[in-house]
Amino acid sequence: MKTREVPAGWGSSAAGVDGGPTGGPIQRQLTQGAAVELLGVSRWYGNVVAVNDISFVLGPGVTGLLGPNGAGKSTILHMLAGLLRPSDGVVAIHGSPAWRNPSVYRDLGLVPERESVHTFLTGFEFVRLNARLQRLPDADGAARRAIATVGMEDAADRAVGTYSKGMRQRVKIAGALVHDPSILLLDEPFNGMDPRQRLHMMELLGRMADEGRVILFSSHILEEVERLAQNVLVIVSGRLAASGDFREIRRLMTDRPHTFTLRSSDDRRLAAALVGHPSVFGVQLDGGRLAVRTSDYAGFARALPALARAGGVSILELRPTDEDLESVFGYLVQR
Amino acid sequence: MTGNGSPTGNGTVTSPAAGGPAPGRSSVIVTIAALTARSLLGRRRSLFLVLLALLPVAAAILVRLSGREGAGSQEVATAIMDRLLVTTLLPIVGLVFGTAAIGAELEDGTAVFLLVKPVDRWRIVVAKLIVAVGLSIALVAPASFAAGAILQPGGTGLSGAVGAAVGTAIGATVYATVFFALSLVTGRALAIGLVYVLVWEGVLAGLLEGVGALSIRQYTLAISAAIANPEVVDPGLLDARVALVLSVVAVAVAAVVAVRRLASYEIGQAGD
Repeated sequence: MKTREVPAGWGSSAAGVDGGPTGGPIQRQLTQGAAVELLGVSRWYGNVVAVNDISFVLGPGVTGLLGPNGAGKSTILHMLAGLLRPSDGVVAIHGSPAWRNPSVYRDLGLVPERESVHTFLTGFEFVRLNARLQRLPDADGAARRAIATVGMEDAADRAVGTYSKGMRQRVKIAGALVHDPSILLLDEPFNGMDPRQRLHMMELLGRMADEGRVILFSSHILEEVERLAQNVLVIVSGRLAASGDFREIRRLMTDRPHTFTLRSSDDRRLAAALVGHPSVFGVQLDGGRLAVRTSDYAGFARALPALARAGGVSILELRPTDEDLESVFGYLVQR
Repeated sequence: MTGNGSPTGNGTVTSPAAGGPAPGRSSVIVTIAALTARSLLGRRRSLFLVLLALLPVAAAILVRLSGREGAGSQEVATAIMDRLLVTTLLPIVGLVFGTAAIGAELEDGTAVFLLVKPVDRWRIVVAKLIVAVGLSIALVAPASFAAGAILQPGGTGLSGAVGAAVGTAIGATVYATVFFALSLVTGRALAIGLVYVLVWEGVLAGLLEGVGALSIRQYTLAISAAIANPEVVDPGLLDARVALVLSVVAVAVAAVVAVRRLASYEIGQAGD
């Protein structure tokens, strides 16, 4: 890995400056040629640490920034977009600091989570406005191309105020793409979208990644990240809990013990059948409900209907009890 | 996932000082100004402000129609010019346009797309200030001129109307700029602005000597009176030249504060 030293004067107590409880200068170095890099980045608000000493490098392709609500995902994205000052460390876009450096926006697009479009503008006007602020020579043409990219030609002349959530999201993406940036940051892009809109958005982001862009999107929903991102960064409580290939992380998540609650026509008989299956390592009858612990999610899912049928038991309800992300991520952190 | 690959596309980032392509930099200011004007005028409160601006004019017409003469009419004229125009309309207009020009957009999130553009922050401030100040003057100065021309306080002829128009135009500039800067310093700019107008200017400036130097209302009164006729129109607490200098200083300081604050403005909260 080629590295170079960080120039002085970055951030507040930036790289190269002594810091940390151990004292003495910390020699931090940026990766040469990295499109997006966080190096030892922390952000705190008073006594609250929102992001704690995170480092990563992003290259082309889709990367998912995954974590429960409040984990620090938006804080990271805002620092990457130069909208928040890192309390410590370096946030670099193509080797330049993101904070207080508007020139980075020539090659970066941000799609914020919040509604950020004046509702009185038409979709075309909004995208053209972005093009003009980027000082593109042919703002109208660039706006039309960006609108075509997100498939919004038919609604381009309607006011944004009349758009559905999914349409607003797409027009925001068109605005962020109008200057053809190689880096695109999206904060919870799937929030509030229906399944069809999600699919469309995933196709769009996948296509843009195929064009060689660096795409980072945040999400608290595992399935979204799974379907879209080759790489993931898992953020838990402001720390980078895991990063790398999604399949590996998914395997860790899938292999963890799961607990299900069942309700059936005959819990006791079903419990007897289940306890004999190798995927099940715990069964508990508890006030009209059956709690089952399994270490093999897929095996259990396959076995359950067959076991119930064989025992003549009807399953009335099946519910995972520990599927909240906190517990999933908590498990990952322990690993 | 470290060190994977080189940046794609137009990866080299040019320095902020480098010249942009085709459309000039001034067009960015025009673009931002046009959007700001549309945003400010589109809101319902603009209609309320127009009606408010018509109020002193309507009152002036009623006074003239009632045919009152002498000392009584003088008192009424002063009440309209001072209380209605300078003390009420002027600060409210400056407060609304000043705080809404960027403060409202920062609050509702629409400023984000503007901030993530390769545009120097001072250009954003200049564009928005031009609109906030311009709209404030456009509402207040004609109303002041019309009311002054109708009432002719102290029998000053049109010079009273011109004085009122110029004085309130300068006052509108200072109010809008100061409140614009305030909206970048605090999220409670509207409330603090109201306290300034009502408590500081309304009460304390009348009681404490020296407070007038920090009162935009006093700048307006002094400049208006100097142009009209200080013998007849009450100049307030300040000398007109001092008021003019203080106005320029206030606008300059507020503009610098606004640029500095916007350059390091942070968006995003601890809880995602």
